[in-house]
Amino acid sequence: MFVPEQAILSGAPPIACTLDAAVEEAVREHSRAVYGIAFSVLRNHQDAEDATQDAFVRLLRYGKQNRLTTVRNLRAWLARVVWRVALDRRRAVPEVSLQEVANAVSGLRARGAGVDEIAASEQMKLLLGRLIEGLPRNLRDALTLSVTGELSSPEIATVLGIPEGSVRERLWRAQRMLKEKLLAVQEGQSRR
Amino acid sequence: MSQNEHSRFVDDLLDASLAQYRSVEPRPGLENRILARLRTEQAAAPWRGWAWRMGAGLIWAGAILALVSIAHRGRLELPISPAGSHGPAPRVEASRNTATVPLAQSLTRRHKHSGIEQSAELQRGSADLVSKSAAVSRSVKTAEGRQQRRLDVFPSPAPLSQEERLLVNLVRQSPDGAWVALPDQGEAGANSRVPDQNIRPLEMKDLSDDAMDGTR
Repeated sequence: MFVPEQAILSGAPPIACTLDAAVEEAVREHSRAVYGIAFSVLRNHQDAEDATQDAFVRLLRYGKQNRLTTVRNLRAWLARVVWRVALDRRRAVPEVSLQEVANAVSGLRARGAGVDEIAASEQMKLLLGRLIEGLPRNLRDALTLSVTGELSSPEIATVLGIPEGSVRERLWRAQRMLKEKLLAVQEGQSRR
Repeated sequence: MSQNEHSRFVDDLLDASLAQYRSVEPRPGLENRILARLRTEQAAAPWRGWAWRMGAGLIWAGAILALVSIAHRGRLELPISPAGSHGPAPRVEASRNTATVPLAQSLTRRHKHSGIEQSAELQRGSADLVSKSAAVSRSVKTAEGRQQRRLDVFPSPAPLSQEERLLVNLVRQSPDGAWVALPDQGEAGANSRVPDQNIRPLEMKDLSDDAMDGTR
Protein backbone atom coordinates (compact mmCIF):
# COMPACT_ATOMS: atom_id res chain seq x y z
CA MET A 1 0.00 0.00 0.00
CA PHE A 2 1.40 3.39 -0.99
CA VAL A 3 1.73 5.81 1.88
CA PRO A 4 2.94 9.33 1.09
CA GLU A 5 6.35 9.97 2.59
CA GLN A 6 5.27 13.37 3.82
CA ALA A 7 2.42 11.79 5.69
CA ILE A 8 4.83 9.47 7.47
CA LEU A 9 7.40 12.11 8.31
CA SER A 10 5.12 14.94 9.37
CA GLY A 11 4.05 14.60 12.95
CA ALA A 12 0.80 16.51 12.70
CA PRO A 13 -1.90 14.97 10.57
CA PRO A 14 -3.64 17.00 7.88
CA ILE A 15 -6.74 18.77 9.17
CA ALA A 16 -9.05 16.93 6.83
CA CYS A 17 -7.57 13.59 7.83
CA THR A 18 -7.93 13.67 11.58
CA LEU A 19 -8.40 10.16 12.78
CA ASP A 20 -10.95 9.02 15.22
CA ALA A 21 -9.40 9.12 18.69
CA ALA A 22 -10.53 5.58 19.42
CA VAL A 23 -8.79 4.21 16.36
CA GLU A 24 -5.62 6.11 17.11
CA GLU A 25 -5.61 4.84 20.66
CA ALA A 26 -6.15 1.30 19.42
CA VAL A 27 -3.13 1.63 17.15
CA ARG A 28 -0.92 2.84 19.97
CA GLU A 29 -2.15 0.18 22.36
CA HIS A 30 -2.44 -2.94 20.22
CA SER A 31 -0.20 -2.51 17.18
CA ARG A 32 2.66 -4.58 18.62
CA ALA A 33 0.38 -7.45 19.60
CA VAL A 34 -1.31 -7.39 16.22
CA TYR A 35 2.05 -7.35 14.52
CA GLY A 36 3.24 -10.27 16.64
CA ILE A 37 0.27 -12.38 15.58
CA ALA A 38 0.78 -11.49 11.94
CA PHE A 39 4.46 -12.32 12.17
CA SER A 40 3.79 -15.66 13.86
CA VAL A 41 1.82 -16.70 10.80
CA LEU A 42 3.82 -15.03 8.04
CA ARG A 43 7.37 -15.16 9.47
CA ASN A 44 8.26 -12.13 7.39
CA HIS A 45 8.53 -8.53 8.58
CA GLN A 46 7.19 -6.86 5.46
CA ASP A 47 4.21 -9.17 5.12
CA ALA A 48 3.48 -8.94 8.83
CA GLU A 49 3.46 -5.15 8.69
CA ASP A 50 1.17 -5.11 5.67
CA ALA A 51 -1.22 -7.47 7.45
CA THR A 52 -1.11 -5.27 10.55
CA GLN A 53 -1.98 -2.18 8.53
CA ASP A 54 -4.81 -4.03 6.81
CA ALA A 55 -6.23 -5.05 10.17
CA PHE A 56 -6.30 -1.46 11.39
CA VAL A 57 -7.82 -0.24 8.14
CA ARG A 58 -10.64 -2.68 8.75
CA LEU A 59 -10.99 -1.28 12.24
CA LEU A 60 -11.25 2.22 10.76
CA ARG A 61 -13.99 1.13 8.34
CA TYR A 62 -15.79 -0.69 11.14
CA GLY A 63 -15.70 2.50 13.18
CA LYS A 64 -17.12 4.52 10.29
CA GLN A 65 -20.11 2.20 10.22
CA ASN A 66 -20.68 3.04 13.89
CA ARG A 67 -20.23 -0.59 14.79
CA LEU A 68 -17.22 -0.14 17.03
CA THR A 69 -19.43 0.10 20.09
CA THR A 70 -20.52 -3.48 19.53
CA VAL A 71 -16.95 -4.75 20.00
CA ARG A 72 -16.55 -5.94 23.56
CA ASN A 73 -12.90 -6.96 23.50
CA LEU A 74 -11.01 -4.84 20.99
CA ARG A 75 -7.79 -6.76 21.45
CA ALA A 76 -9.46 -10.09 20.67
CA TRP A 77 -11.32 -8.51 17.76
CA LEU A 78 -8.09 -7.20 16.26
CA ALA A 79 -6.37 -10.54 16.86
CA ARG A 80 -9.12 -12.31 15.01
CA VAL A 81 -9.00 -9.89 12.10
CA VAL A 82 -5.23 -9.96 11.72
CA TRP A 83 -5.24 -13.74 12.04
CA ARG A 84 -7.57 -14.02 9.07
CA VAL A 85 -5.70 -11.39 7.08
CA ALA A 86 -2.42 -13.17 7.73
CA LEU A 87 -3.83 -16.55 6.75
CA ASP A 88 -5.06 -15.00 3.50
CA ARG A 89 -1.64 -13.53 2.84
CA ARG A 90 0.25 -16.64 3.79
CA ARG A 91 2.49 -17.89 1.07
CA ALA A 92 4.04 -21.26 0.59
CA VAL A 93 6.80 -21.74 3.13
CA PRO A 94 10.19 -21.99 1.39
CA GLU A 95 11.38 -25.54 1.48
CA VAL A 96 14.15 -26.01 4.01
CA SER A 97 15.75 -29.38 4.28
CA LEU A 98 14.96 -30.82 7.68
CA GLN A 99 18.11 -32.86 7.52
CA GLU A 100 20.30 -29.82 6.93
CA VAL A 101 18.92 -27.76 9.81
CA ALA A 102 19.04 -30.77 12.11
CA ASN A 103 22.69 -31.28 11.17
CA ALA A 104 23.42 -27.63 11.89
CA VAL A 105 21.76 -27.82 15.32
CA SER A 106 23.66 -31.01 16.14
CA GLY A 107 26.88 -29.29 15.10
CA LEU A 108 26.18 -26.45 17.51
CA ARG A 109 25.58 -28.89 20.30
CA ALA A 110 28.71 -30.85 19.48
CA ARG A 111 30.75 -27.69 19.74
CA GLY A 112 29.45 -27.31 23.30
CA ALA A 113 26.91 -24.57 22.74
CA GLY A 114 24.38 -24.10 25.50
CA VAL A 115 20.62 -24.38 25.26
CA ASP A 116 20.13 -20.62 24.96
CA GLU A 117 22.75 -20.30 22.25
CA ILE A 118 21.26 -23.11 20.23
CA ALA A 119 17.74 -21.73 20.70
CA ALA A 120 18.81 -18.28 19.51
CA SER A 121 20.48 -19.63 16.41
CA GLU A 122 18.91 -19.20 13.00
CA GLN A 123 19.18 -22.93 12.34
CA MET A 124 17.13 -23.80 15.41
CA LYS A 125 14.46 -21.26 14.39
CA LEU A 126 14.31 -22.82 10.98
CA LEU A 127 14.11 -26.29 12.49
CA LEU A 128 11.35 -25.27 14.87
CA GLY A 129 9.48 -23.58 12.03
CA ARG A 130 9.60 -26.79 10.02
CA LEU A 131 8.44 -28.86 12.96
CA ILE A 132 5.54 -26.50 13.70
CA GLU A 133 4.62 -26.52 10.04
CA GLY A 134 4.34 -30.29 10.19
CA LEU A 135 1.79 -30.25 13.02
CA PRO A 136 -1.90 -30.91 12.36
CA ARG A 137 -3.79 -27.75 11.48
CA ASN A 138 -5.81 -27.43 14.69
CA LEU A 139 -2.73 -27.91 16.90
CA ARG A 140 -0.61 -25.61 14.76
CA ASP A 141 -3.14 -22.75 14.91
CA ALA A 142 -3.39 -22.89 18.69
CA LEU A 143 0.38 -23.07 19.09
CA THR A 144 1.03 -20.26 16.59
CA LEU A 145 -1.30 -17.93 18.45
CA SER A 146 0.16 -18.99 21.77
CA VAL A 147 3.83 -18.46 20.91
CA THR A 148 3.21 -14.81 20.18
CA GLY A 149 2.83 -14.42 23.94
CA GLU A 150 0.29 -11.70 23.30
CA LEU A 151 -2.92 -13.60 23.74
CA SER A 152 -4.39 -15.39 26.71
CA SER A 153 -6.17 -18.72 26.41
CA PRO A 154 -9.66 -17.10 26.36
CA GLU A 155 -8.52 -14.72 23.63
CA ILE A 156 -7.07 -17.57 21.58
CA ALA A 157 -10.38 -19.37 22.06
CA THR A 158 -12.19 -16.29 20.75
CA VAL A 159 -9.94 -16.03 17.72
CA LEU A 160 -10.29 -19.70 16.83
CA GLY A 161 -13.93 -19.94 17.84
CA ILE A 162 -13.41 -22.91 20.14
CA PRO A 163 -13.87 -23.46 23.90
CA GLU A 164 -11.07 -22.39 26.19
CA GLY A 165 -10.55 -25.96 27.40
CA SER A 166 -9.91 -27.07 23.85
CA VAL A 167 -7.21 -24.42 23.51
CA ARG A 168 -5.34 -25.73 26.54
CA GLU A 169 -5.67 -29.31 25.39
CA ARG A 170 -4.43 -28.47 21.91
CA LEU A 171 -1.48 -26.54 23.26
CA TRP A 172 -0.48 -29.46 25.46
CA ARG A 173 -0.78 -31.91 22.58
CA ALA A 174 1.14 -29.62 20.24
CA GLN A 175 4.05 -29.23 22.65
CA ARG A 176 4.19 -32.97 23.30
CA MET A 177 4.21 -33.67 19.58
CA LEU A 178 6.92 -31.08 19.01
CA LYS A 179 9.06 -32.65 21.67
CA GLU A 180 8.63 -36.11 20.17
CA LYS A 181 9.63 -34.78 16.77
CA LEU A 182 12.64 -32.95 18.15
CA LEU A 183 13.72 -36.07 20.03
CA ALA A 184 13.39 -38.13 16.89
CA VAL A 185 15.50 -35.65 14.93
CA GLN A 186 18.16 -35.57 17.66
CA GLU A 187 18.27 -39.36 17.91
CA GLY A 188 18.52 -39.66 14.16
CA GLN A 189 21.50 -37.36 14.18
CA SER A 190 23.22 -39.15 17.09
CA ARG A 191 22.83 -42.55 15.35
CA ARG A 192 24.71 -41.20 12.37
CA MET B 1 24.34 -38.78 27.86
CA SER B 2 21.57 -40.79 29.49
CA GLN B 3 18.03 -40.94 28.18
CA ASN B 4 16.71 -38.72 30.94
CA GLU B 5 19.36 -36.11 30.40
CA HIS B 6 18.69 -36.10 26.72
CA SER B 7 14.96 -35.72 27.31
CA ARG B 8 15.55 -32.85 29.70
CA PHE B 9 17.85 -31.19 27.23
CA VAL B 10 15.21 -31.42 24.51
CA ASP B 11 12.60 -30.00 26.90
CA ASP B 12 14.81 -27.04 27.73
CA LEU B 13 15.73 -26.53 24.10
CA LEU B 14 12.07 -26.56 23.07
CA ASP B 15 11.06 -24.06 25.73
CA ALA B 16 13.94 -21.75 24.89
CA SER B 17 13.31 -22.07 21.17
CA LEU B 18 9.61 -21.26 21.55
CA ALA B 19 10.55 -18.23 23.64
CA GLN B 20 12.96 -17.13 20.92
CA TYR B 21 10.38 -17.91 18.28
CA ARG B 22 7.93 -15.45 19.78
CA SER B 23 10.38 -12.64 20.46
CA VAL B 24 10.02 -10.54 17.40
CA GLU B 25 10.47 -6.80 17.31
CA PRO B 26 8.80 -4.79 14.58
CA ARG B 27 10.85 -2.26 12.71
CA PRO B 28 10.92 1.15 14.39
CA GLY B 29 8.06 3.50 13.53
CA LEU B 30 5.40 0.83 13.12
CA GLU B 31 2.71 2.94 14.82
CA ASN B 32 3.46 5.99 12.69
CA ARG B 33 3.32 3.99 9.51
CA ILE B 34 0.01 2.47 10.50
CA LEU B 35 -1.42 5.89 11.39
CA ALA B 36 -0.19 7.37 8.11
CA ARG B 37 -1.82 4.55 6.21
CA LEU B 38 -5.07 5.09 8.09
CA ARG B 39 -5.04 8.82 7.34
CA THR B 40 -4.45 8.10 3.66
CA GLU B 41 -7.27 5.62 3.76
CA GLN B 42 -9.56 8.11 5.46
CA ALA B 43 -8.74 10.83 2.93
CA ALA B 44 -9.56 8.48 0.07
CA ALA B 45 -12.66 7.10 1.70
CA PRO B 46 -15.16 9.85 0.71
CA TRP B 47 -14.25 9.46 -2.95
CA ARG B 48 -14.63 5.74 -2.69
CA GLY B 49 -17.99 6.11 -0.98
CA TRP B 50 -19.29 8.42 -3.69
CA ALA B 51 -17.94 6.19 -6.42
CA TRP B 52 -19.72 3.21 -4.90
CA ARG B 53 -22.96 5.12 -4.55
CA MET B 54 -22.78 6.47 -8.08
CA GLY B 55 -22.04 3.04 -9.47
CA ALA B 56 -24.83 1.43 -7.51
CA GLY B 57 -27.26 4.16 -8.58
CA LEU B 58 -26.35 3.74 -12.22
CA ILE B 59 -26.80 0.00 -12.02
CA TRP B 60 -30.22 0.44 -10.40
CA ALA B 61 -31.29 2.99 -12.96
CA GLY B 62 -30.16 0.73 -15.80
CA ALA B 63 -32.01 -2.23 -14.33
CA ILE B 64 -35.22 -0.25 -13.91
CA LEU B 65 -34.99 1.13 -17.45
CA ALA B 66 -34.44 -2.34 -18.84
CA LEU B 67 -37.44 -3.70 -16.92
CA VAL B 68 -39.67 -0.86 -18.07
CA SER B 69 -38.64 -1.23 -21.70
CA ILE B 70 -39.16 -5.00 -21.60
CA ALA B 71 -42.60 -4.59 -20.05
CA HIS B 72 -43.55 -1.88 -22.55
CA ARG B 73 -42.39 -3.96 -25.52
CA GLY B 74 -44.24 -7.01 -24.25
CA ARG B 75 -47.46 -5.01 -23.96
CA LEU B 76 -47.18 -3.74 -27.53
CA GLU B 77 -46.55 -7.17 -28.99
CA LEU B 78 -49.47 -8.96 -27.29
CA PRO B 79 -52.41 -9.71 -29.65
CA ILE B 80 -55.54 -7.86 -28.61
CA SER B 81 -58.83 -9.41 -29.62
CA PRO B 82 -62.02 -7.40 -29.17
CA ALA B 83 -64.56 -8.67 -26.71
CA GLY B 84 -67.36 -10.66 -28.30
CA SER B 85 -65.46 -11.35 -31.51
CA HIS B 86 -64.84 -14.83 -32.86
CA GLY B 87 -61.19 -14.68 -31.92
CA PRO B 88 -59.61 -16.63 -29.10
CA ALA B 89 -61.76 -16.68 -26.03
CA PRO B 90 -61.35 -18.33 -22.67
CA ARG B 91 -62.69 -21.81 -22.39
CA VAL B 92 -65.73 -22.14 -20.18
CA GLU B 93 -64.89 -24.61 -17.51
CA ALA B 94 -68.39 -25.86 -16.94
CA SER B 95 -68.78 -26.80 -20.59
CA ARG B 96 -66.27 -29.60 -20.25
CA ASN B 97 -69.12 -31.69 -19.02
CA THR B 98 -70.65 -33.37 -22.05
CA ALA B 99 -74.07 -33.33 -20.41
CA THR B 100 -74.42 -29.71 -21.41
CA VAL B 101 -74.92 -30.62 -25.08
CA PRO B 102 -78.41 -32.08 -24.69
CA LEU B 103 -79.13 -29.30 -22.26
CA ALA B 104 -78.34 -26.71 -24.93
CA GLN B 105 -80.42 -28.48 -27.56
CA SER B 106 -83.28 -28.89 -25.21
CA LEU B 107 -83.19 -25.29 -24.14
CA THR B 108 -82.96 -24.09 -27.74
CA ARG B 109 -85.99 -26.12 -28.78
CA ARG B 110 -87.98 -25.21 -25.76
CA HIS B 111 -87.16 -21.57 -26.03
CA LYS B 112 -89.58 -21.41 -28.96
CA HIS B 113 -92.48 -22.37 -26.78
CA SER B 114 -93.91 -19.74 -24.61
CA GLY B 115 -95.48 -19.10 -21.26
CA ILE B 116 -96.63 -21.80 -18.95
CA GLU B 117 -95.89 -24.68 -21.29
CA GLN B 118 -92.21 -23.78 -21.45
CA SER B 119 -92.02 -23.26 -17.72
CA ALA B 120 -93.76 -26.50 -17.00
CA GLU B 121 -91.51 -28.47 -19.29
CA LEU B 122 -88.41 -27.00 -17.86
CA GLN B 123 -89.50 -27.56 -14.32
CA ARG B 124 -90.14 -31.19 -15.14
CA GLY B 125 -86.50 -31.50 -16.11
CA SER B 126 -84.13 -33.02 -13.67
CA ALA B 127 -82.55 -31.00 -10.90
CA ASP B 128 -79.19 -31.92 -12.31
CA LEU B 129 -80.00 -30.32 -15.62
CA VAL B 130 -81.19 -27.19 -13.93
CA SER B 131 -78.16 -26.82 -11.79
CA LYS B 132 -76.00 -27.22 -14.88
CA SER B 133 -77.90 -24.44 -16.54
CA ALA B 134 -77.20 -22.13 -13.64
CA ALA B 135 -73.57 -23.13 -13.70
CA VAL B 136 -73.40 -22.40 -17.41
CA SER B 137 -74.93 -19.00 -16.85
CA ARG B 138 -72.36 -18.19 -14.21
CA SER B 139 -69.57 -19.53 -16.37
CA VAL B 140 -70.63 -17.41 -19.29
CA LYS B 141 -70.59 -14.32 -17.15
CA THR B 142 -67.21 -15.31 -15.79
CA ALA B 143 -65.91 -16.02 -19.26
CA GLU B 144 -67.02 -12.64 -20.50
CA GLY B 145 -65.41 -10.98 -17.56
CA ARG B 146 -62.21 -12.92 -18.13
CA GLN B 147 -62.21 -12.11 -21.81
CA GLN B 148 -62.34 -8.43 -21.04
CA ARG B 149 -59.95 -8.55 -18.14
CA ARG B 150 -57.30 -10.89 -19.47
CA LEU B 151 -56.71 -9.86 -23.01
CA ASP B 152 -53.03 -9.64 -22.31
CA VAL B 153 -52.78 -13.07 -20.68
CA PHE B 154 -50.24 -15.49 -22.09
CA PRO B 155 -50.84 -18.16 -23.38
CA SER B 156 -53.81 -17.01 -25.39
CA PRO B 157 -57.11 -18.51 -24.18
CA ALA B 158 -58.63 -21.31 -26.30
CA PRO B 159 -61.72 -20.54 -28.39
CA LEU B 160 -65.14 -21.70 -27.25
CA SER B 161 -66.40 -25.01 -28.53
CA GLN B 162 -69.60 -25.38 -30.57
CA GLU B 163 -71.76 -26.30 -27.63
CA GLU B 164 -70.26 -23.58 -25.49
CA ARG B 165 -71.11 -21.00 -28.10
CA LEU B 166 -74.67 -22.35 -28.28
CA LEU B 167 -75.02 -21.94 -24.56
CA VAL B 168 -73.57 -18.47 -24.60
CA ASN B 169 -75.97 -17.40 -27.35
CA LEU B 170 -78.90 -18.85 -25.51
CA VAL B 171 -78.06 -17.15 -22.27
CA ARG B 172 -77.41 -13.86 -24.03
CA GLN B 173 -80.68 -13.94 -25.97
CA SER B 174 -82.93 -14.91 -23.11
CA PRO B 175 -81.35 -14.97 -19.71
CA ASP B 176 -84.77 -15.55 -18.17
CA GLY B 177 -85.06 -18.81 -20.03
CA ALA B 178 -82.12 -20.11 -18.06
CA TRP B 179 -83.38 -18.72 -14.78
CA VAL B 180 -86.71 -20.42 -15.28
CA ALA B 181 -84.94 -23.71 -15.09
CA LEU B 182 -83.66 -23.03 -11.63
CA PRO B 183 -84.88 -25.37 -8.90
CA ASP B 184 -87.34 -24.22 -6.31
CA GLN B 185 -85.52 -21.99 -3.91
CA GLY B 186 -88.36 -21.31 -1.51
CA GLU B 187 -91.20 -18.95 -2.05
CA ALA B 188 -89.15 -15.84 -2.45
CA GLY B 189 -86.96 -17.38 -5.14
CA ALA B 190 -89.85 -18.82 -7.03
CA ASN B 191 -91.83 -15.61 -6.96
CA SER B 192 -88.94 -13.55 -8.14
CA ARG B 193 -87.88 -15.83 -11.01
CA VAL B 194 -91.06 -17.30 -12.52
CA PRO B 195 -92.47 -14.92 -15.13
CA ASP B 196 -95.95 -13.54 -14.70
CA GLN B 197 -98.67 -15.75 -16.08
CA ASN B 198 -101.12 -12.92 -16.83
CA ILE B 199 -103.87 -14.69 -14.96
CA ARG B 200 -106.65 -12.39 -14.24
CA PRO B 201 -107.51 -12.06 -10.63
CA LEU B 202 -110.63 -13.73 -9.51
CA GLU B 203 -113.68 -11.52 -9.45
CA MET B 204 -115.96 -12.04 -6.55
CA LYS B 205 -119.60 -11.47 -7.46
CA ASP B 206 -122.64 -11.56 -5.30
CA LEU B 207 -124.65 -14.68 -5.47
CA SER B 208 -128.00 -14.30 -7.17
CA ASP B 209 -131.02 -16.52 -7.05
CA ASP B 210 -132.00 -15.97 -10.68
CA ALA B 211 -130.80 -19.28 -11.94
CA MET B 212 -132.59 -21.11 -9.24
CA ASP B 213 -135.79 -19.29 -9.73
CA GLY B 214 -136.94 -21.46 -12.65
CA THR B 215 -136.48 -24.62 -10.73
CA ARG B 216 -138.69 -23.59 -8.01
